[in-house]
Amino acid sequence: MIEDFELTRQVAGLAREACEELFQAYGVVLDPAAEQEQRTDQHMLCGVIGFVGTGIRGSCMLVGHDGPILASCPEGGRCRDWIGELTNQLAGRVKAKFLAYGVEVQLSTPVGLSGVALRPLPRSELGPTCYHAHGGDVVVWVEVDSDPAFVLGRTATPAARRAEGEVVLF
Amino acid sequence: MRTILIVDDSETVRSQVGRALKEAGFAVVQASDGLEGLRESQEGDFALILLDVSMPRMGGMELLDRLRQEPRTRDVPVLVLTTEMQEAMIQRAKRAGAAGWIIKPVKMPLLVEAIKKVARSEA
Repeated sequence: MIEDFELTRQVAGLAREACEELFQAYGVVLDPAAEQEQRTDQHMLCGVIGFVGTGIRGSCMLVGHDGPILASCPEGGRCRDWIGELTNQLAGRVKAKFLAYGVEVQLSTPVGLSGVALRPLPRSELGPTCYHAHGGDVVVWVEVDSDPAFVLGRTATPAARRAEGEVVLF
Repeated sequence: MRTILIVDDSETVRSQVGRALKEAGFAVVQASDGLEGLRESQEGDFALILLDVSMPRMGGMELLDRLRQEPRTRDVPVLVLTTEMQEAMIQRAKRAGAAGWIIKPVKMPLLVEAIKKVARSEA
């Protein structure tokens, strides 16, 4: 497995779309921001989840200040539990986007972290996607390895995509 | 009062769904993974079982298969509540005997409506 910069950039785009859709679904508005604009002195929550499929593997990281993360949390939720669930829902959306390209991945169990100034350490020049939100910042990040022959393709198939909240009764 | 078993490893989701179901007039029992869900399912009379797919120890699809094998829960309606949108998994759940599939993030009024429609009336 190798890091393919173009593939990582593509997957980062999928994660960015997934992140924006996810927070929108919970009523949290994300505004794109440059990484150096991010505030670093407030408490943060972070979730990391791995994914693996034929010819591809990687990790997806969601990190944010308590403000926007907890603003998305349903009433009565606990932060340790919620950051894991939110990361799981983010990765679930990325998984659905992979499927549109005919790529099936499986997800690992999410792990949660908390701390101050939490940031990924990129191994290439491709940095994380950063946002400002009410009450703090949000960062989403992916790292991807693939077989040299792996190709994600240029066009997603829009068909057969189910919607969030959809109820399918048999 | 009809009782719903919620099986999900997220305490936040269990709490959120449980609160909505109680407001809708159901009693609620919770389990945090498939193994605990299987045990609970054999100790109560449930009008419906709501389960997640990705859980530690025993996942939701395996739990669904086990529920269909056990005489006590063979006929209890099962709804799957998950982030998974993969059509093949949805069809697999249908073949395994699930009554429906609901994609997270959950829209609570739609979930409650579906549960009222599908839940057994006698439990």
